Amino acid sequence: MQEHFTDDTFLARWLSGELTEKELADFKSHADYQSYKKIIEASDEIEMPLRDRQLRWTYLSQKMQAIQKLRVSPVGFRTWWKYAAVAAIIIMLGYWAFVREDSSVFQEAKAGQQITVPLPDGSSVRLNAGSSILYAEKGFNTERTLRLDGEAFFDVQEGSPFIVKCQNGEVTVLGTTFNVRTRGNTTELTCYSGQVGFRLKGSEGVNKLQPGDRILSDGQEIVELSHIPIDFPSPTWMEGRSTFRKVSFKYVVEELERQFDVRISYPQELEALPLYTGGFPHDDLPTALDIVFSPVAYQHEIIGKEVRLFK
Amino acid sequence: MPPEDSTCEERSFKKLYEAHSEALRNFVYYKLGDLEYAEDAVQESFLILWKNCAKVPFEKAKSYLFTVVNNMLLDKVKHQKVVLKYFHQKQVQHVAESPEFILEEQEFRQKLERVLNELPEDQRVVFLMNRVEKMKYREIAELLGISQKTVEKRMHKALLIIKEKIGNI
Repeated sequence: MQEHFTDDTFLARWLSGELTEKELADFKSHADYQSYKKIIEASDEIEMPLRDRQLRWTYLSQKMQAIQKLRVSPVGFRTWWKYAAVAAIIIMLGYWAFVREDSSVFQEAKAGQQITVPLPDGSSVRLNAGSSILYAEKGFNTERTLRLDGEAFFDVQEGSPFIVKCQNGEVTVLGTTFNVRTRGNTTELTCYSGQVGFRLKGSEGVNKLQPGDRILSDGQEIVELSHIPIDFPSPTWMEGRSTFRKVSFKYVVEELERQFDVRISYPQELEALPLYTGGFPHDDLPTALDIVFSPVAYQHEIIGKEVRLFK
Repeated sequence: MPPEDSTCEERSFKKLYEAHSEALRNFVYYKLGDLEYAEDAVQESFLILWKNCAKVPFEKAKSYLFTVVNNMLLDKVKHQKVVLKYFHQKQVQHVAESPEFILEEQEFRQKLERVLNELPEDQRVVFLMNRVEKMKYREIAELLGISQKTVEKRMHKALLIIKEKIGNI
């Protein structure tokens, strides 16, 4: 059949009207011309199944909005943290996108900021610097569930169970005030009033916390259960101070970075120091650095948003 | 002067959706013959575009979408049997024709449908993009990342094969 045609694009050129008059005339007198013509006429009548473009656009734009919220992403974070947070949120979004496509709310306090988020049920969340929550606005009153990355203080109205999901567990409460700190692999939960339950991811049992109880988990297991005197009705970070009990210096450095929106570089040996107990104020960076690092004989140098620690 | 379209603007993005989502869906359908998968792939590729909107200029968005969808399909198992249904509710318009003629027409369409499904994927996609989507060879070449010459060769070959398989009409 090939030999009927002068080249291997002949029919293509016929369809696009690019044959010369001579070529076209010859082709028309060809015995097969009518067959080709008929095939093309029938092919041109092909119609694809209809689709409801408007409806599909509605679905798409709902998902787009969820993405857009993530797009306005923080600049103050250290990069690893940002990715970790975004990854966690995307996983949750995937879930919510199915269940209730249109009402995911994402709120975040960037580095150097604290914000209070009122929830639809009258509860409120105070977000510490470099922290975010994600929840579904629609139906929140009946299913009070939200996702936390970072640290937040919750003031929960009485009602149905209120669940805070975090990286390595979930916190269930009725009406109470409590603080959840989840940074890296660790989750720290402190109860300030009422009663709070903590369930480690993958486990069945629930730890119940009374006011002053604190629980610390490394993601695998519960590392410490302790009781602290409650001098304040809320955690110290809300009063302008960060306090720590038996945490690594790396952990403290990361909190300093979030509170002051700075980047801190330090020698590797710092991570090998014994665990830190203490705290720093949020209003003065040089003082904060002195308080944390002079006991371990580290000095600091501040250049703009960069801080260098050295012996 | 009206503001320039930006891929990151929802209004501009909607224009892209209205202009290209059908062609994109049909493209996947021509390749795989799975309408539901095709719709999912469209949704997915538009979301990927949206996520990367800052990197994709408005006028490059169409070819970006086709590239994304193409990559998506690379992972998809090939050579599954394609069952495309092309002729949808298209009424035979020749009311005055004899019943025999109408029957012949219908038979011809069924035959054509079957032959199209049996075509090699490359040729089928090009043929249908040209005849159904009414895309020019140059445009098809751009979207598939091949030369216009290749598109024309596939087109020529496709028509040869269809003609041969359908036999004398």
